[in-house]
Amino acid sequence: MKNLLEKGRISTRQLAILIVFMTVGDSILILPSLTAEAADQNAWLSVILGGALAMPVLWIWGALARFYPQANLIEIVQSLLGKWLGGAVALYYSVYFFFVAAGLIRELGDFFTIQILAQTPLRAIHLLLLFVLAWGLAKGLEPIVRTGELFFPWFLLMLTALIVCLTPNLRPVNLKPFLSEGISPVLHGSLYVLVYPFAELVALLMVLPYVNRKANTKRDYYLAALFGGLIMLIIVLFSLLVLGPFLTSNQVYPTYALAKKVNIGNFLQRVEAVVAIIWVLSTFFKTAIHSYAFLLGMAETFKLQGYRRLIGPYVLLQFGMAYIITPNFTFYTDVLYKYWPFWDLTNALLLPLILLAAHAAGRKRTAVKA
Amino acid sequence: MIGLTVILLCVAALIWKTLLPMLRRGEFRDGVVFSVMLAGGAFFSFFAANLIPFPAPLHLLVAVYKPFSQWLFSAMGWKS
Repeated sequence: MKNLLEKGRISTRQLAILIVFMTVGDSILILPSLTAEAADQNAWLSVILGGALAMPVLWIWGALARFYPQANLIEIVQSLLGKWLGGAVALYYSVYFFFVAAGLIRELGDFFTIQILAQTPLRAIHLLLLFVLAWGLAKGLEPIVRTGELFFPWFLLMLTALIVCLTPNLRPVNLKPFLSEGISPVLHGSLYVLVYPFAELVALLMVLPYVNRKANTKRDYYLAALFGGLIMLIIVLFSLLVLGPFLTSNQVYPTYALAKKVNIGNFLQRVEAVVAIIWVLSTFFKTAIHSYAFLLGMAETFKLQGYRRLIGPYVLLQFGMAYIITPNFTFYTDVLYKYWPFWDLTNALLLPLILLAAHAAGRKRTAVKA
Repeated sequence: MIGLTVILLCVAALIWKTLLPMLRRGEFRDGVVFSVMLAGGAFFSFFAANLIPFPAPLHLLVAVYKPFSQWLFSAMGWKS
């Protein structure tokens, strides 16, 4: 089934860059504190374990994309589950993408108003982001992804510079004692690694049909996710090595606190804005893809003529929802710690497994009839 | 007051620029979805623009997953 709502096509390299941006996403700021809260000084082991656990999830999505190469997630759902159940699940997925985007916009606003622009109203930050988002969405998938391609070298350069400048502050003693409380805290920490960098990549199932597939697409799909995971491992490791497990788990944004530690010869200092730039870039692309997934999902579910016409109402909806989604930052962090991971797992693991099972059952029925 | 005015202006602009041409072209399904989203957007934006408290949708997420979360955290001995 050829999709008529999206005419753009992206290359494998662009897909890989998108995966790296989305894997890093907001995780670069929230993951160190979540994993350190769960696993203390062994949070880096959680990242390795979480990354390993994510590979089968990526394989499940890859399998769905292989069986339905020209269909996005919504089309797959409608094709496998029928008109009414498929429509309901398709709408549910669209709502999920909407709320992930709302959460990301709120996180960005909270970060800026807590750390950098303390006097600026939250809604002003949201509006600025929403205008840029709307502009990108109006242009379409290809320009968004090409913009990511343009920014990617700068993103890597700033990240590398941050890591290099922090190396004088490393204290390996912060990683001890090793596995003092057993494997259970590491498993706990790996839950957050599994969901926030990786499980939320499920939105890519809305983008995969528009990739010009080559022989190396499958390899690059996994490699990009692994590279994103490697970046997260380095960030969490450096947070533990520089700040220690207590500060990492208790800081609101440990990566920002990490950047404050950079001080080369009392000359190169106060480079926290670099972390802000890195994070805005990665979070923007994650938000853009989730927003795109929502709009395309709504257009597919209701069989509309196009998705761009929904951008205006979407901006209004997000302006409101990004504000009301949580009453305060503390409640939001509590939800991220205890409840959101299971919603992510439902949408990224359970439902795709059900779709694969439905596909297998459909094939068996066809084989029996034959 | 200013917030409400700006929201209403945005709604009016979107109706003028997008909804009316859609309806003229006979795209009624698109018009209905657009209108529902626009009404929802205006509703929620009103609360955001005027800083009026509204029940957070995440409470629903908490209600759905709390039993499982509490059981898992307790069974695995995880810090809550």
